[in-house]
Order: sequence, then structure tokens, then C-alpha cells
Amino acid sequence: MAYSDKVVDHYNNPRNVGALPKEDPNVGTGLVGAPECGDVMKLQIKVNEQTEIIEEAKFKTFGCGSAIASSSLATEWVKGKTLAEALEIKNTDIVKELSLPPVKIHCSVLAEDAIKAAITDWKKKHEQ
Amino acid sequence: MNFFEVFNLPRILNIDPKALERKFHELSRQYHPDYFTTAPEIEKQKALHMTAILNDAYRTLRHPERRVEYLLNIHGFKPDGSKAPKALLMEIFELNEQIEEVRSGTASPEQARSLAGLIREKRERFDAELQAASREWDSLVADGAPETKLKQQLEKLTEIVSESSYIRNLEGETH
Repeated sequence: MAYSDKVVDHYNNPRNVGALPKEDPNVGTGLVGAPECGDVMKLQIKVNEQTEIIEEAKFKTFGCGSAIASSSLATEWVKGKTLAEALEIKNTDIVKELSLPPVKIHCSVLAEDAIKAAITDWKKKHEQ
Repeated sequence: MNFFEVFNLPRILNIDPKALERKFHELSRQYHPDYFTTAPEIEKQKALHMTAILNDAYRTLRHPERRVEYLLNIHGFKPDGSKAPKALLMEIFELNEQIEEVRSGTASPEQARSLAGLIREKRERFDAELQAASREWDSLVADGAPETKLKQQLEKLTEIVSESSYIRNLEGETH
């Protein structure tokens, strides 16, 4: 199966690979997995408490090219967005942007889940 | 016709591979196109169709893990990623990170060996759990257990099976 140019680009030059300190109160961590293929994805966001704007995002994905591209794109998209805006990102947006074939749609779902999980984790830290 | 029915088996998980293979050859002969050269077209098509199903059924049922996945599938159960325990995902993630270190050459040979050991242990634990849960399923079926009990066991099997692709990936990266 041929990957689209955008997937190849993200795969060869992934944006924002790395990690943020998990214990930092301003960092939210999302860790998700796909039982269909065994891919695991970690996505982290650093959020400004006052503005709720995502100032930084990092990811690390062990999986296929589409999973790496989906999470790389997700970190690009969430940066500069408010939490509310980031929650609006749908896996279908990722599918469209990367021209993912039907068999790779679950990779985009994984990326959407990772964003949501990271936001949930951040919110949990700020409940008190 | 589901794959268990193809082999005239109840929906059990402990299947003797030798017996399955014998039955496969027997049925393969029975449906072999050579026996249908003079048969009416409809019979020919039916035999062809059965041969295809038989091959799929054999490929699926002879493999213990795929057998479980198939059983779950025909009961409408499938692994749900959103239900994966956090501890499992963390463990898998960390193992993947270690594999990466080994591959990039930053890990010592001792680290590489101990990592291979960890993954082997993980596989053994998984196989043992799956076998135990499969045996439990078979005794429930044999005892004619009520629907709710069977459902519970299918849920348990689903939970166990949802780990399998993560483990397969880890093994694929190290072997």
C-alpha cells in the first residue's frame, strides 16, 4: 500500500517528537493503544493555566507510518489552540489531511483519542 | 455456516490439532473438485464454495489465538482499545522504548538480553492466561452454563485477547 506524500513527510520529518515532564502540573499526558494493530501512542500537552491555550505538544508513537503521521499532525494542530478548540479536532479531519485509506482510519482515531486523553489528564490535575 | 460448524465441532477452544488436521483432509477430499466434474453446475459451485470456507476455517481454527478471536467475533465481541488498562499501555510503551534503545545501540548487551527475557515472560504469561480462560470457557459450554455466565467469560477472553497484538508487535521488533 502506498502512503500519501503527507504521511511520508510526517514519517520522515516527524514534528514535535519527544516528551514533556509528566509530573509538571501544566502538562497533560495521553497514552492510548490500538488493539487492532498493537500500536501505542503518547501525546503530551503543556497548557497555560490562565488562557487554557496549548503552548507546547510532544508525541512518541510506536506504530506504522500512518499512526506516526497522525500523531505528528495532531501535535501540530493542537499547538496554539485552546483546550476547547483542541477538543473539536476530529479523526476525520486527520483522515482528510493525510489522505488515509480506510484500513488506516483507526490510526486517526488513535490520535483523536490521544488528544482527548491528554486534555482529560490535564483537567484532572486542575480539578482542585 | 460458521467455522466450528464446518468441522462439526461445538464452539470450544481446546481443539486437538491432530484431529482437526485429519478432519480437514477428510473434508478436503469430500469437496474436491475432481469428484464434481460430472455433477450439475450448482453442485460444482457448492463444492467450490465449501472448499473455500473449509480452508478459511482450518487456517483460523488451527491457531489457538485466532480461534479465540474468531469465537469472540461470532458472538459480537471485539477488543476495545479505550478499555485497555493504563498499566498495560504503560508497560507496552516502556518495553517499546527499551527496544528502541537496543536497536539504536545505546543499550548494553546485558540490557538487550534482559529485555528479550521480559518479552518472553510476557508472552508466556499471556499464553498461560489465554489457555486457562479457554479451558474455563470449554467447561462452561460442556456444563450448559447459562447465557450470563458465557457472556462473562467472553468478556474475560476479550480482555485477554486485546493484549495479543501489542505482544506480537514487541516480538516483531526484537526477532
